[in-house]
Amino acid sequence: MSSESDASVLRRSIDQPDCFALLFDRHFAEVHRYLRRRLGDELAAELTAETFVQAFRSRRRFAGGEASVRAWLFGIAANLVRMNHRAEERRLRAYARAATGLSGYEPAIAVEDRLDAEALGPALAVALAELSPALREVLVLHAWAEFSHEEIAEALGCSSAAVRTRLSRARGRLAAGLGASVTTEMEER
Amino acid sequence: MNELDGLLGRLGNALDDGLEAAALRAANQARTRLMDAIHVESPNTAGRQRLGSRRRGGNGRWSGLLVIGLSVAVVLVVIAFALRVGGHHASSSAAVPTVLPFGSSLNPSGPTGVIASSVRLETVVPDPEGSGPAWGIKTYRVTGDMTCFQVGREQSGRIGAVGAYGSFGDDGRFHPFTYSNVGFGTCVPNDAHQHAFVNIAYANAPASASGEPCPTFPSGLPPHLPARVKQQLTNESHAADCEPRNQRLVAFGLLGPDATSVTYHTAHGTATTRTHGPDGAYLIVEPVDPAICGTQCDYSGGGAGTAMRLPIGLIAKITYRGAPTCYGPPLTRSLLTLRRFNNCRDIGYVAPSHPRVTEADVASPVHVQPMPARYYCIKPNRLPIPCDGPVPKGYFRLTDQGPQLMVYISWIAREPVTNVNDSTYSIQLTNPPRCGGSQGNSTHSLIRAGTRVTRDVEVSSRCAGTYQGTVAYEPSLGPAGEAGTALPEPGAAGTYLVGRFSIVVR
Repeated sequence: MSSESDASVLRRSIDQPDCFALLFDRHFAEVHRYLRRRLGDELAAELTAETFVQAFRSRRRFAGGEASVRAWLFGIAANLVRMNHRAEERRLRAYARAATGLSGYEPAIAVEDRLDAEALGPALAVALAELSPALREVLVLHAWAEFSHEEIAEALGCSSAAVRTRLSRARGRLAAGLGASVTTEMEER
Repeated sequence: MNELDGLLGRLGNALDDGLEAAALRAANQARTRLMDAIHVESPNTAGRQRLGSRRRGGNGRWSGLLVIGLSVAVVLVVIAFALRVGGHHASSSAAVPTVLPFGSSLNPSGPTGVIASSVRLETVVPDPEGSGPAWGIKTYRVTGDMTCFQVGREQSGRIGAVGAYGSFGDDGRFHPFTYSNVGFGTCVPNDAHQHAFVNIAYANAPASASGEPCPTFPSGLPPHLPARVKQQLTNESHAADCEPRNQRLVAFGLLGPDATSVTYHTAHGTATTRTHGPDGAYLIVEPVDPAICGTQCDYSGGGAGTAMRLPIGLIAKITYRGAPTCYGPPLTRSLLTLRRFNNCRDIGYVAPSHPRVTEADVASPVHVQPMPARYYCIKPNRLPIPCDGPVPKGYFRLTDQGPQLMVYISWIAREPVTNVNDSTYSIQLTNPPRCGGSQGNSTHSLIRAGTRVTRDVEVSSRCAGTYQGTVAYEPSLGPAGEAGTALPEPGAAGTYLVGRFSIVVR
């Protein structure tokens, strides 16, 4: 049962709606973590729920065959994030402003990550906030959801070539946005 | 460039702080909503769930979901029974209304369900540029004695946004809203006769109907703005769906049961639309034209109208059944002229009856507790705390504030707050005369009668002297207040003094 593919579970859920629960179990944590990084606790909780509800309601239209249900779910999540891109930008800017306060947190994250976040987090967050929603989407799907070019293309409904172009453009703009001081930081590593 | 990916990954890890607890809460919320969706589509699922639960036995991963499933099944049985009783006894109209899931609200005391029989698509109007689906306004009553309304593009009776004009990656698809996503609309408390009253106008609505109104300036940025601010505003309005050609003037509202028509200004003169439904709903969608509302179009904060105050320059007049025609405020900067145009407000509004209270009923001693510290830490839904030492887990240290003294104010709430849109306790604080100014705050939460309520106020430790304060109980006496936020502020209020306090800063 547990080895059944996502696509097969999804097809079965058309006649047996309860089966959709299995897909929720498999993918909730990853989708929620992705949305929480982008939108914070409250909106992430709301939109993770919405992602699965939308997925459930549109499961008949999923024409992916054996294509990635995971990419499909992230595609729905990405659409919802786009509707809230200003909230995301506010969150990133707020993170940048508050980043100095992170030093007081319990070290629930690796010390190395924490030091990086404190040193570069604010500048990165601001640079990320200043990217267009479309470019930011591709970049974080790659860096945070660890999607391949092909998976991103599937999630966003575009070609792999378009993903490569957007990714390259996003990285270029992000690097430019980080500015001279941060570039120095990067070069010193 | 791999270095950049690595840094992004580490930023992501840093943003994961507190993930485990948040995931637990989010999972419960998502399970509930998904279960609701499954039941709405297939009510018979409940029976299968019961069988399934026996078959699955010890599988605990969805045990919470099964409990919810059974609860919903019981509710459905009760509803079915009530409807059957209604069928046999036609004179009895006390059937239990079917409540659809609202979806979660960002406001924990907000609506939780939609009364299914109240959902109405009030009217649709074509897009003024003839581009894409029509625009529509839909109203529905929700739990908590409120009315919500959605405004956006309409397709097959649903309100939503379109994947065009730079939104949704220009996917060309229709993206319907859930009940908890009201688009440009909002939720407001009902009056005593279950009617809602509100007016909202956005001169900078994205044509896709997605997201918030654009922070753009159809008439151009005011020339006196500093270059830095202009740059910031330009950056914020950069999104493709917020380019001026991709915006619409969208005005809508619920004028009450007595309103019959709305006449409004257009680029070419005036037009009249009749109102719709029991709430007197109207919807106007026009091309953006600064000539209609002038600088009033420059809603820099995302923009909204206020309560029953009509958008300046747009509405020419409203006609009513059995009440005089009223005239909307013209495009003018003259405050004296504008003050003459408040007579459209509240026609047909019947204030909900509140228990009569007196100041003696709500009076309570007010305690003042200074919390001196160099730094304070904050956490959602908690009072700020002094934290000169280590920052407690889950708190954030405020580092960008000036020299402030945090003071806790507490009192006994003798009257309850059962609906945050309907009543509140407020704190007003007047600074020492030599510094001038004042500040105010409200409780914004549900409160049981007899509980001690504690809130914080900040005073400047640089401004020595005596700060005079009051705590008051304020039941709402009029239509909802400011719109455009997730939920409205309490409306015009009578004020009952709970107690006075003073803070001396040396």
